[in-house]
Amino acid sequence: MFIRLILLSLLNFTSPAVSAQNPDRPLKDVQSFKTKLELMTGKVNTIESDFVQEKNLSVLSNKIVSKGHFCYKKDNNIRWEYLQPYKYLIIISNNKIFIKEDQGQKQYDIESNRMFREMNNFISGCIQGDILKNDKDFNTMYFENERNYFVTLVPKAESMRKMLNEVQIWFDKTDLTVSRITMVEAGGDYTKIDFVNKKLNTEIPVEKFSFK
Amino acid sequence: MRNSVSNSVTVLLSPASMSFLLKSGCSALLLLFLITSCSVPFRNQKPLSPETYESPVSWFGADTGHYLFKSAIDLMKNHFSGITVVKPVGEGIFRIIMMTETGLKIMDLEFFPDSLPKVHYIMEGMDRKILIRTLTRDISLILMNQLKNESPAWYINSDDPTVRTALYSINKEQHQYILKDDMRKPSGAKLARKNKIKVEAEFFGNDQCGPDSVKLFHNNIDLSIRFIRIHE
Repeated sequence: MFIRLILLSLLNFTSPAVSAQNPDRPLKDVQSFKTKLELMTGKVNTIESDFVQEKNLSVLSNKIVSKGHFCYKKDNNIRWEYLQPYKYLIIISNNKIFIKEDQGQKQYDIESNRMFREMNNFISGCIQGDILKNDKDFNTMYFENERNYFVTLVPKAESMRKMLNEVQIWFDKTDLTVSRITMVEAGGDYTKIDFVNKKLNTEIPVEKFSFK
Repeated sequence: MRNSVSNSVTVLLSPASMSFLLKSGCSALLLLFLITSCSVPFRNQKPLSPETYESPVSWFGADTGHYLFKSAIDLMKNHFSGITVVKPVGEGIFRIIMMTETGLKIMDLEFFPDSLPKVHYIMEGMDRKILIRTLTRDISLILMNQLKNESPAWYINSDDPTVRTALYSINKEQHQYILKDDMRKPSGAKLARKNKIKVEAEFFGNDQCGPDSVKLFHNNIDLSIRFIRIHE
């Protein structure tokens, strides 16, 4: 479950500080939303997007901002690349995970490691919407406004809540892709990731998911 | 850094996996603390009059906003990476926040000039006394937060008179800061106990831009820490 939340952090966060932007209208027909999400994920073969990650710490007056590029290709090929202000690359493909940073690079078999297995399941679950079916680990609430569906995931385990109070996922109503993820920590600090310039079903070269 | 990247599990930093790695690392750390020791602290040094030089100053001035570093910790065969914020909040008071690349907070510590650091938050699995004690002592050596009311003893290098050492005795430990030429910010630091150098650090930077990077390593255990400045 920890891993899932961390992976969520990969995608985006928001917090009480951004609550003014949060839709506050409860979603009446949750099942309809879930059905539409399932239909959409069935039609999407690739997703490409830039992302902007903001870390908000109460001790700092300004945010720590990092930017990068995200690629997804069916089935389970994921590339998560930080470009500014530092370079850091994660690729998940063919049951392997590859990490590259300044100090070197490394790859692991997903199946050989429970953590990586969960991570892989989580990311694909998020992209395909399966994460919303996880009633075991989270209390889930659904909201909406004119532009977004908005889902909050509150960890059930107290040990987890010490680290994260809440995870929020925003879905764009036009295409049902994830447009924002926010992870709110117990102390109120939060990380927000916005997905921008999203492109669906474009041709993404397979080399993007190769390890080199 | 003495260690190469090994188990680069930092990834998205799963606390669960980190917890396991740290638990195993901590046990080995404790054992190594008990059975190993190291080198000679002071060689080729001549004492100087205490008033010869002004006291060294920290690279992390209280008059600045904050510092952001890409950070890496190598403990035994485990490698952790992330981002560290150094926020001076007063004279000798610093807030240090370490987090993963993806923003998940690992630890949040506050350092004071005359009392033990306060742990605001530490991720489950890292809340081991020996690990906290070691990390806070290392960071304190780098921050120089405990030197506010202390006056150092001065030594000069017999082989190279442009190199001098400021020596502070704090809690049965010797904190040595190596200064070159007329610099008041140290190029290196050492922590010694019972005449054995346990920890060494190197500072890189300049007066105009502040610190560029800091490297720290232990002589008696396989632990090293590296901070590389991120210019925002």
